[in-house]
Amino acid sequence: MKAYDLSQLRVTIVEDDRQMRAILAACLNAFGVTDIQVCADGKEALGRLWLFPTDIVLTDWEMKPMSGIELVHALRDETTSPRPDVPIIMITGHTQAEKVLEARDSGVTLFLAKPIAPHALYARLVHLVEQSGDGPERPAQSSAPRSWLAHIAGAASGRAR
Amino acid sequence: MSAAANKRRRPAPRGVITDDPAQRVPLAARVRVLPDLDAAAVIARAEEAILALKDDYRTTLGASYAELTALYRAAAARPGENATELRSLYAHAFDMKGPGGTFGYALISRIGDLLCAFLSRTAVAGRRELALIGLHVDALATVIRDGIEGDGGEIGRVLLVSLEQAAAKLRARR
Repeated sequence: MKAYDLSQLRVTIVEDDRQMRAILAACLNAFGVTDIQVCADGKEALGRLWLFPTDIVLTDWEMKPMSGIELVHALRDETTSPRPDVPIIMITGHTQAEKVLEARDSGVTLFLAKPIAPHALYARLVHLVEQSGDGPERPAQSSAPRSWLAHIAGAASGRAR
Repeated sequence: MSAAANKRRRPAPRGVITDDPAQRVPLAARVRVLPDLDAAAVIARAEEAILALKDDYRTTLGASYAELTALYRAAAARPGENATELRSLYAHAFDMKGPGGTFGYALISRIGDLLCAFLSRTAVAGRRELALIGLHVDALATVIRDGIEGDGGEIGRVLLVSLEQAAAKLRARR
């Protein structure tokens, strides 16, 4: 895998757990990303994304008052979203097939299973960068479930060793 | 006109930095390949950064376990009427298992997985269900008290097998 200078990217972390926020921020810093916005839940993120145009959203699923999946729905809705096509990586301990498919159908771009492994997170960021050459990243469509499921398999193998 | 085209986009709030899709530069155009560095070196840097957070995680683990125990006791005090307490217990166990594996405590994540799987199928716990939940809480206590890292080797295997067997026994009785 190639190494990239990611220092020009702006990333938003949406996570209610302090330890998980620290892990994600530490990984992003190590990858060269310094322009990071941290939000504690979906509602806060939805408000702050208007003020912080972001390139990539990393979001947890289980949060209150607004969960990660509710945030994804709001972000993909053109009537409420500051950026409906922003790439979203869902980072969660929910790895059951029905949850993964729900995430896909809601418009999640990529899925990453907890516990987080730095190589798995880096691989997903690189994937988003490499896929964006012809224009802004689009969320996965239901009409292409096979390619999306390949990313899910990657999530499973990307679990911490 | 299509339904999508009819959708009116909410105007940006005052003072907002507008993000014009037409002006947006693709991610690939804003990053460059680092020829003198490979991805393994970047990933190793991230692993070191996580290692630096491990002491803080260890410090908070005790408090997190104490909260789990308190939630378990609250559920155990109301057998058969503890739906709310079980939901709180599930939420806390779910949060606990998240960072465990990242900091090298894979067994905490694994036991947390088993506990969450059981709680997700259990709306209300009677005495037998509470006993099984208690076994998971005790197993977590062992891992935290003895500072068992990784998969825990033989101790880890025995803990997981005993929890899985206890859960299977309860399922057979139900």
